[in-house]
Amino acid sequence: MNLQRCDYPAVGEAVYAAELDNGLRVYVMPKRGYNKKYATFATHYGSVDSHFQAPGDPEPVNVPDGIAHFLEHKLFEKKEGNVFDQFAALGAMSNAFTTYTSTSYLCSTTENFPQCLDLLVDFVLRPYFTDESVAKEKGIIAQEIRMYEDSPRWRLRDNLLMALYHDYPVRVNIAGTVESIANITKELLYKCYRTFYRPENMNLFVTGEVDPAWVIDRIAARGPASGGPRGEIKRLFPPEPATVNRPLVDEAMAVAVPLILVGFKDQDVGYDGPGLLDKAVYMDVLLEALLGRGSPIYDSLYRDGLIDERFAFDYDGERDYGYAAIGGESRDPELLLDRLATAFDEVRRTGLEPDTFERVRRKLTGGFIAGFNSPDYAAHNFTLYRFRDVDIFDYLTALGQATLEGANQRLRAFFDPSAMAASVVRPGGISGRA
Amino acid sequence: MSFELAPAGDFLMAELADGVRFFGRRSEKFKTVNLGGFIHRPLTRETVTATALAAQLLKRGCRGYPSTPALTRRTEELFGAGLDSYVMKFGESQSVGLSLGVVDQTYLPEGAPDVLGDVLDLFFRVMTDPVTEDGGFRRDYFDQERDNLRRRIEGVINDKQRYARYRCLQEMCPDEGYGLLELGRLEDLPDLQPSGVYDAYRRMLSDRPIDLVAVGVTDPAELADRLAGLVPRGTAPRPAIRATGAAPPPRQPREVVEEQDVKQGKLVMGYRTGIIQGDPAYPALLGYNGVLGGFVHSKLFQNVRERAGLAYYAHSLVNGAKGFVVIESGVEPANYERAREIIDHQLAAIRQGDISDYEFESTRKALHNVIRQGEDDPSEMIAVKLAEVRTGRFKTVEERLREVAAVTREDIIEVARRVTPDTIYFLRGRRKGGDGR
Repeated sequence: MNLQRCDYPAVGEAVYAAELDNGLRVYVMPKRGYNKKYATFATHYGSVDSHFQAPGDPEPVNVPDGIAHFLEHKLFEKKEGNVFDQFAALGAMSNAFTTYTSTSYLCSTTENFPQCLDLLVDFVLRPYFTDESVAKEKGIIAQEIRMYEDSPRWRLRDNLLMALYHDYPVRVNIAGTVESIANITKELLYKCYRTFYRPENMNLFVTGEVDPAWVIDRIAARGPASGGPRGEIKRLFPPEPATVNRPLVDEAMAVAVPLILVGFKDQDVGYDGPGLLDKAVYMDVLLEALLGRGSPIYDSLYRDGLIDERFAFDYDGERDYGYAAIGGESRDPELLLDRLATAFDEVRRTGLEPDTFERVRRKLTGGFIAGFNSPDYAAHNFTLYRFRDVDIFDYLTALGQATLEGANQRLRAFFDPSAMAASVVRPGGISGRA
Repeated sequence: MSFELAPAGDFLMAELADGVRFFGRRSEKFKTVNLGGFIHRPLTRETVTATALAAQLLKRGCRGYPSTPALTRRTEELFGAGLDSYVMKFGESQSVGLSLGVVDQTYLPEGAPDVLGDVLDLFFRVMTDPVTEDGGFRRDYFDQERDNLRRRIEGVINDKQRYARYRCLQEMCPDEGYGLLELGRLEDLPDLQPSGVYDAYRRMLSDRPIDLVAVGVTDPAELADRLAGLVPRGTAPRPAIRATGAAPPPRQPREVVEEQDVKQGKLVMGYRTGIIQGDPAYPALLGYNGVLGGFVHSKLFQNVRERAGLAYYAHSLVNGAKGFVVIESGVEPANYERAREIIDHQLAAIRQGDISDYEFESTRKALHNVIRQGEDDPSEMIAVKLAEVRTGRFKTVEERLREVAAVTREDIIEVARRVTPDTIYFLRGRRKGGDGR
């Protein structure tokens, strides 16, 4: 096995990497002194992958919305019982989560790590779907979807993506709808499984006080089989116009204070790798510089009572889509929207100040390093960025190489008023559309 | 000055001034130094709102950095030292909390100044020297934070699961401080004034106990020395605060139903056990909760979700300061009776000693796992130490592990006999129209 070691002295970490014969990539980040051993086994398959053509298939298929998440739930169930129980019997904690573009299974334990690692590999690579268990899961997931429907913050985010996107499937909730999941069958689950749960489409990340060579040998010895004919999985997406779908979506819910999320749709998409990392770094710098607690915009909005300290922003950038979301609770969502639009307009003209740029880079440097206190944070970031063909540890280098000119260019391109949309959740049953 | 450090569990402690204690733990594996500062007072109707407001005002500015942007920019220059102030409650006590996390010097560029020293200086300026005007908190900041606090209290209803839990606990504790929201009461807000809130906070600083808890790369003795010169000096003795309080007389269990425009019902069931953190039976209470609903192997998850498919979440948790067990589940109103029946059946099963080997062994292992994993997270280590500080019993991790390993089935059944229903709370959709499934 060709074990490669990469050192990242700026964060005090090292990662060992190997690619197994079947194409599975394994990464180990030893963490001395940690009690916990943490492993994630992830596939590059998320809720947006609902139209695809598997290698060797004559034509593409469409599958119901929410099936990736449904599959994640169902993979835990086996003929002999639930995998949760087997992890529990080992004293370990297991879980899983589905994003728009990935599904991750994880286990976290302080004891019996070899057995836990074996179990993680085995259960993810060994599906067992039956009509009966698929039927039962529909009830559980329907309750999960209802829970999101009652959550103003979830609704706010879902509605924003619906406002930004005409057709790209990120506009659909990760869990799907109660109606869409009704169409899921065990045959469809197997179809998705065989397409996306092939070793060359997956990666396995282990961190904690472990010996990298041992981990990789152990996984190789479990001999995860090849996933059938290798080749490219064709992921098919509808063409997405550059414009936003609707400038505003609003909804009334049982809330006391209105909520608003303002979004910008990234027009500069279609690539991953180092270019995507550079973009993500610039987006972090820009959002923090423009809207962070040290910014004049934040100060002015806060002083006028239009935002509170839970005002937040993020940028989610994948190869084929990207958007920034900005917002929180506000007594006057329309006024906040106006003020933000005016502020973006102005800052696009003036650009960032050099000292702001430096200060924000320091803040992001500290935050990035501190993040590696957490094995969970390291595992998830590393894994999700690998699927974007990015080494997350290059973040600090990219941040160091970022320039003020680069930031200002992206500022002008990204915060284009025509790329902006908003989602509002209002109190009560009346829709006070603006 | 150099301090005698005494062991307090796995931490070393020192009394830096009368009633001001420091707890430090060196841990080379982290990349940061994390510090929490807590000023405690009894949780009472009369003082809850002013204390919450003061906590929000501290982070707005301090001597040398008299505005929020100035203070924030300073923390960002110091590599994003997360410096925050907030309010919390623990049993019958309320605390103003300050926290910071700063990247250790070894990860900073060569020639960077003493960042830890600068951050500690800033931390205590925020705690002891907030920005003021005319003998009170700065007027404009005061007005803004009072408005924010009002919206936050009103906004508790936005998060249905949290709201339902709060409502159940409020119904359980009509005459106990714990029934109050830590953010305070809407009706107090109009009468609060910048000078009154500031004076009350100054009194807290001088006559209430203060605990400082630190985890990180730095040697605790060195940190104690640095902190000793910065901590506030008292003008009066700082009597200890009793967080655990006295239990009210027993009463008939109550059921409360509330209607809102929600799609899923939120069921919260509150029980009293009389067993609080620090009691000899407390590890057995943790064991009880592990069998009942603390984990995915527990009876609630297995039966309400996995067998009956009635809910996405069904779990229970322990409130160590009050000795409560709280069960939570999100269920369709149409399934309410069935869910209640299944839950009641699980409670009865434990009382009757129906605890499988699998449930019992998995619980012991899971508790072991949780305790050991807590040692990998500085914030969790600070939270665990703080809870010990409030109950007055310090334990090492090894002691905590031994205690949960010693819990027997009989201990858990004994706890089950002490679990007394208090309040069943259900938040459900409105009955008229659309819900007649």
